[in-house]
Amino acid sequence: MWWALIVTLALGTWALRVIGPVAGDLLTPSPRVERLAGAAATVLMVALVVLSAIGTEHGISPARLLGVGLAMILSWRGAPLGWVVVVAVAVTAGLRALGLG
Amino acid sequence: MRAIYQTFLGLPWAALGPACAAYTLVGLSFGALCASQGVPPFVPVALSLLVFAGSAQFAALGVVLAGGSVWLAAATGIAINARLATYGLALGPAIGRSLAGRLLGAHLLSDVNTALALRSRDSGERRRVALGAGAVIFVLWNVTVGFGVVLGQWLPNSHRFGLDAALPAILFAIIRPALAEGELRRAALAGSLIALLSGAFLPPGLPVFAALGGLAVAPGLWRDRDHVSRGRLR
Repeated sequence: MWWALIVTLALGTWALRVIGPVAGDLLTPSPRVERLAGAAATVLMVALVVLSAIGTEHGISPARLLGVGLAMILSWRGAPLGWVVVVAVAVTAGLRALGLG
Repeated sequence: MRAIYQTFLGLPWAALGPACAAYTLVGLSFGALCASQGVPPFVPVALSLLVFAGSAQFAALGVVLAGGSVWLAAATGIAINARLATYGLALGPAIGRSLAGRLLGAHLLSDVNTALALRSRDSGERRRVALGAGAVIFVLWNVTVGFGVVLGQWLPNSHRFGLDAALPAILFAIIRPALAEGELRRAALAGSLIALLSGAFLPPGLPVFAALGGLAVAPGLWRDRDHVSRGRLR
């Protein structure tokens, strides 16, 4: 039964990944379509950040939400990536040590 | 524009380095989680090699461990990976020189290497970054998952150390320059809001996809004129 999961998930995921590279090969996308696809990818990634800051497979975590939120503000104000990561992890761990989930 | 840190293999290590550290910890936890739950070792190893998508692997495993069928687990993982189709569309044929290269290179698409590749407008540079960073992450992911399986339950609880906050923070820092463009920022904000609200009634994996509705509030992105953003060129 494990192999049914592995093979189905692997084939489904790979099919999703190759749609763009292969379709783009058959018909050259216009600059507008290319720009829209780039914008769509960015919008998805921001939503992924927001959703995973709030809840993941481990459930909702206020500590992580505050940690990632503060890191996003710092990043927005031009802080280097190293600091952004350290703040996200340190704030989340600190709040959890204080008993916030 | 090349900075000093972009020397080794020509990859953007300032962003890729911390992402690698985060993938290492997540990979170790995935392997260790599987081992501690009594999942046969070939399962995390095969999933990491053939699926190569962290959040989908965790989610699919979670469904099975919660007593769901393997088909529900596979469907959940595929729904979570639906966003990869958009990444493939964004990079397009730039991912490989030949059809075979594209079919293989597409397997390396992930959040981080797509975000890094999209920072460049040149298709050769995009291919180099997408494949180079993708290969680094692929090797690292599989090695760390393997180690995690071996280390099993000796690993500290990564939740306590706040490591689950690392990947979202890194991903945001990587895409932040693109958000200098007002229209894109508005679309991303609206999209995130839609994704959050739809989480109340959509199954796992689909809310993030609902974020595409945010593109509707940014008419400038649909227009046919060439508007080059400052942010995307960095």
